[in-house]
Amino acid sequence: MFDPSSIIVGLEIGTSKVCAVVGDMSQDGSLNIVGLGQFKSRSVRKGEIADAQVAEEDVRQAIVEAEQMADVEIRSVYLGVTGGHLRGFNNRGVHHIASADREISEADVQDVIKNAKTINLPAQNHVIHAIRQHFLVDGQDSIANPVGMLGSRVDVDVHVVHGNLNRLQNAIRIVKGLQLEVEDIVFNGLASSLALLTNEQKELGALVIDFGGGTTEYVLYANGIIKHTGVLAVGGDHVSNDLAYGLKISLGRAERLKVEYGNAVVAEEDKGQTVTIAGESGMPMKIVNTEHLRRIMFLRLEEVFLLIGQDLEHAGMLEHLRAGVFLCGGGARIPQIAKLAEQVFQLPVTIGKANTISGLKSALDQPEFATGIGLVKYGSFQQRNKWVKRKSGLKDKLGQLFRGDRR
Amino acid sequence: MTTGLENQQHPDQPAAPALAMVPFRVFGVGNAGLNVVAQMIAAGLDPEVCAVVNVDAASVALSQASRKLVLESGLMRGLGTGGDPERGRTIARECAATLHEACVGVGVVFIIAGLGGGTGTGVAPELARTAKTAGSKVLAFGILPFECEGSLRNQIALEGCHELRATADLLASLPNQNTLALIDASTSLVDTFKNTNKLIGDLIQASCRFLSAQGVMGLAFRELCVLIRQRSVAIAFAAGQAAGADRAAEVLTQILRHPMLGGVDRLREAQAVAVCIAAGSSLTMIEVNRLMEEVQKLCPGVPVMMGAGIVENAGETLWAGLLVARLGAVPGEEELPSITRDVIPNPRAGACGKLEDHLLSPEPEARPKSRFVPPAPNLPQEKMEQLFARQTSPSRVRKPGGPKLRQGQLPLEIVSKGRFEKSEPTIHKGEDLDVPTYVRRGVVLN
Repeated sequence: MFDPSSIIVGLEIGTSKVCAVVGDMSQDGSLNIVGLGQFKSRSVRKGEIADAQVAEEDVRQAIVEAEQMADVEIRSVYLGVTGGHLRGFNNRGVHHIASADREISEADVQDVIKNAKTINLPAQNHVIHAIRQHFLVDGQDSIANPVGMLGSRVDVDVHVVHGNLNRLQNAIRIVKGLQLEVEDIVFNGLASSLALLTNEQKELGALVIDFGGGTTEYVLYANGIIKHTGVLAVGGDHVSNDLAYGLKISLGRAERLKVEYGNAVVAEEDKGQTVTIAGESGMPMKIVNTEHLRRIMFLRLEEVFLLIGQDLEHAGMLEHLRAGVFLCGGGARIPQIAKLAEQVFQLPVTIGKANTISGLKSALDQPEFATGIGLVKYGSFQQRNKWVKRKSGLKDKLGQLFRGDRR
Repeated sequence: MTTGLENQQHPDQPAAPALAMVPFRVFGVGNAGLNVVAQMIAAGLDPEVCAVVNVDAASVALSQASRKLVLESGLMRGLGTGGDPERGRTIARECAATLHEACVGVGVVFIIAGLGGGTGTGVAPELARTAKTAGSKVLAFGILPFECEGSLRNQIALEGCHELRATADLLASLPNQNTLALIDASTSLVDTFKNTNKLIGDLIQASCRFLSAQGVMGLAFRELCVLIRQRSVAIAFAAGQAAGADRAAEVLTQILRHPMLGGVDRLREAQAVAVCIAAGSSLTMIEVNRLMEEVQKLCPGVPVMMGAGIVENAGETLWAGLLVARLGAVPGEEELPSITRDVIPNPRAGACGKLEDHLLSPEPEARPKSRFVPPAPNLPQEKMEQLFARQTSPSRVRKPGGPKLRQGQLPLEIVSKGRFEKSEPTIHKGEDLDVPTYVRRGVVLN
């Protein structure tokens, strides 16, 4: 039905669900979400795969559903990754201009970016992203593109996201085991932020918090560039676990109570309210105090926000947020979570919606699909770059061939 | 790192004012702090290095300390802080200039405060903050209330602990509850507090000594404090002194029995341990070695740091101190179980007898002889000698007919991590985030 090169698939192997989003990019570059497949994830803890065989089956189901819905054959995916081992930091690369006329060429720019990527990391760590922030020419700040300028030295600031290679490989291997190609791996937080934020919001400064099942990712934009990223291996699972422990109920029941009666803040009228849990036979089995339920949730959620706030404060980033905080992920569905986040960050908080793309309305409005949609969007940027390169001359093409570079 | 005291005083401090440098000053904050300082002066500490801070002028006037800081505010209307830390904090902020003036030019500020009341809990963190801005290092000693003083007081104390830990360079918590082991049924209330004050006073004087010792080996006391702080949150401190030929062994026994340590088992659970040794120039390498070997034996697998220094005019005395950093979010929370476990059983002692009651069988029962006699284990000669010596050493001999200990159960609540039992724990700044937040914060669901 579609030209296969224009189909972009984002796959997120999350802690609570595996989700595949299919996007169709037209020749003019506009993106349309045409399919969505999801399946309950049974073997992922804190964003990392615990049982490869079960996970493979879950991924297969999700992919099959997405294929049927979009009526396409999926050959390659952009894979979202997360986990407590991921780290983000800012780095700077330096390059001295050697040419006599001191004009900065495209090659110089490539060199300086290469320098910024060479970081002293342990051997088992892999750089997932090195996102360009801005250039400095002879110390002059905030230059978007230095090509053609004159200078003796060019610096570039990049934001590097890296993680443990073996743990990243686990997810990649599962996808490869299903005869699918992994085009690229993408940090889930980055993907979510791409789905939620408009350029204007990035320019103003925004924080995206993806409160998932097993992990919480956060990405901070200021002046249009990514300044800070982080992962906290705490998510909705922890809320359920706290409830199961605190209310002395089973995990499944805690999960259901969380969805039905959960709230991010404890209200005055919750005091003394109770919920009766019915047993297997329909007889009342246990009475749970609503106030306790909500207090346990409130403390956990508040802690997550506080930890993120502390990290950003430590990095000195909290003043840059003029567009406010955007929440997504399944955790964004918790009633009044925006109110709680507002109290903690003292900033306007919005439940993020993937407004920047068109397509299936049912998928775009859901906060938990933000990552999947963002992955497609990330893929579309990559795809566009490929097209641009393909259009460039024969010389480049031959060069690519010899370098063994497929892009 | 072999540095004298003079050159380690202010490596990173902004240009110090041209005042005479004072190596350290002891601040007693609130009534408890005042009492400890009074006790230390009575025990021979120079009043010149002491300062007292309180909101009530009458008690300050009675003190012999050289610096007396009365925090006055219209807010109180002569009523003191009334047990409200918030009020103490406000007053301390109003009088920040007074506090700052007393901290300027001081190398190390010791803060002794009884946590759980209004003045100690409120003023001590503010004082610590002020002292830090004045360029001093801050070592705080937080005295935690007895358990019987009520949950509210304990709660305030724990909150104070958190705050003080955040502002001071190092906070050693000294739970009063631990001193229950030292008293018996006939000890009066006044004597109990006197004993406690003496104990705490001795500890602080010991740390003053370590601080002023000329470091010759390893790290100086202050560096040890800073290093160990990075490891953990709850820090226990114990010290001892001894003279004579066998002083190294004796001092270690004293430390391990020290109530503020809370039992030898603490060492094994520690995140990090720091040992500090100070003595006259007669200090020998063998002694240092012996002490360190023993400590390392007690806590296998725990990182141990050490520092040794020389004190002038020490004579034959050897001082040693032990800093134990543990991974416990709340220092006071886990103190009680350790007492029931570590106290040497003494059925005649009132308070401790009560705690031990459930461990003691009502009457000594004659145990039927087992039909099975296990064969003697195969041990090398020296191991056998060691075992024999241990079994016949005087401390181990139990009076015949005395009550036998029954295996008891610790009243510990083991927090199950549920679905995260098998996954990698999420540790953030020493806290295990997999444990429910409300458990870590100590929120009680009634």
